[in-house]
Amino acid sequence: MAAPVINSFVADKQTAAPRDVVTFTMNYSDPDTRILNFVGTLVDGEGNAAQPATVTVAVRDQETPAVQSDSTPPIVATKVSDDGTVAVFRATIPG
Amino acid sequence: MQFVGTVTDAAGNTATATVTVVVTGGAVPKPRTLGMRSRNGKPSPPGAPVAVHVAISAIAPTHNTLNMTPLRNAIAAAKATGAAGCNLSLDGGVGESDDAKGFFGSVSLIDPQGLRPDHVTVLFSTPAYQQRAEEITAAVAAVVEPDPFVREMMMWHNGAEFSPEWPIREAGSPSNRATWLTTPGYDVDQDAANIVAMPEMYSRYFHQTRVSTWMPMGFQRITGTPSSSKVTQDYTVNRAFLDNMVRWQPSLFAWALGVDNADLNSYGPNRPTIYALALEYADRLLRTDQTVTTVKMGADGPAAVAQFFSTPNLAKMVADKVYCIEFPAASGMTAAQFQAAHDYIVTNAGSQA
Repeated sequence: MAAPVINSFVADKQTAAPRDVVTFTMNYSDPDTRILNFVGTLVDGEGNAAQPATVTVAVRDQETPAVQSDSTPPIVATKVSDDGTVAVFRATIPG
Repeated sequence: MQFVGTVTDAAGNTATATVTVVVTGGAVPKPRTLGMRSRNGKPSPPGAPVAVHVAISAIAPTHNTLNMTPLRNAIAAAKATGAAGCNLSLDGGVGESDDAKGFFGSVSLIDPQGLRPDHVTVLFSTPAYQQRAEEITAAVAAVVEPDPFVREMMMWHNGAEFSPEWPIREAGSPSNRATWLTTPGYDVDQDAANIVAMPEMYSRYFHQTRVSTWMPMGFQRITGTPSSSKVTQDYTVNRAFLDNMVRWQPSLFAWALGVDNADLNSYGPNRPTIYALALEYADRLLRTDQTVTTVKMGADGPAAVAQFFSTPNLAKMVADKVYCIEFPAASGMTAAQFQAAHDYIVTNAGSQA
């Protein structure tokens, strides 16, 4: 199973003062996918069935993005949003 | 400081990336001890000076009366907090009456260690109130503790010579400090009446006096293009900037941010670089429900504002004055007061103020 990939990871501030809120945006992906086939069927009242139709959906692995600082104690950023490819975090620089 | 972003999949595989954020500053600076020297030349000890803020109008409700009760009460209240000492901040503020107008106070500091002044600052605005300042200063000295230190100041303010044993230093430009301090007949009144700009000195002054009750909270450099020789347009001041000033420059350090004295000195109608805004933190004039603050200048604003910004006298913009732009209202400025003042700092001989 391949590792996920962080395509980009940026902060909205290069310099921050204590109590500034810094927003981080992480764009990530995962090359691993699972193939799920969804089969559609149609049956009439007499039991006649149409030829089943299949659609394939590639499902990515479940990824969990997170952000924290390397300081001690670490500043753990709060996840604001995550649509599966882009996650936004916010962290407040302690005073 | 580095922030590490990680992505972990269901199998525990992880990817990481880092981004660096430079964190400036530290804890909110405490204004107390910067540059302070006690009378014996040693740094003032750590303590918790309490600012005693008394409106000058409460002390001198009219030009001919003095009422020291509010000051005494304020001092007593400060002492009751357990603080080792207290600052006295007498503030004429935005007083618009004939008695208070133009006079913005007298500040006397009390050393936290022994209720003795380690320097005295007296601020004048208009000549008419110089005497008032002297009276207030004397009254403060009487309340706090009769002290030759203060009397020395009073002598000087009254036009007498000051003792070289207690040199009076003017914060700000060192180049002209010695000159005017030793110039016989130096016209304090006339000079104090000149409106000049020197935020750097302003900063210095507050560093040294630790007074934090009435001062403006932030300058934002704003630019515009006046339609004529007068600045007539409104300027929108970024509220977030000011809010940041309020939060992070709560007393003394705002001036180091973005205030370029060269701009101020070179201001002219064709160089519409101005600075705004000054807010009173103590009065919480910057309300959280305000998203922007509009500063009105020019025709719709107070005449004094228009006058200053439209007819700058560069010759008067010397670097030895305090200039404070005080807009008492954060939205829709309805009044303004320019305060020009000298800042006299008395230190022990040889010590660096």
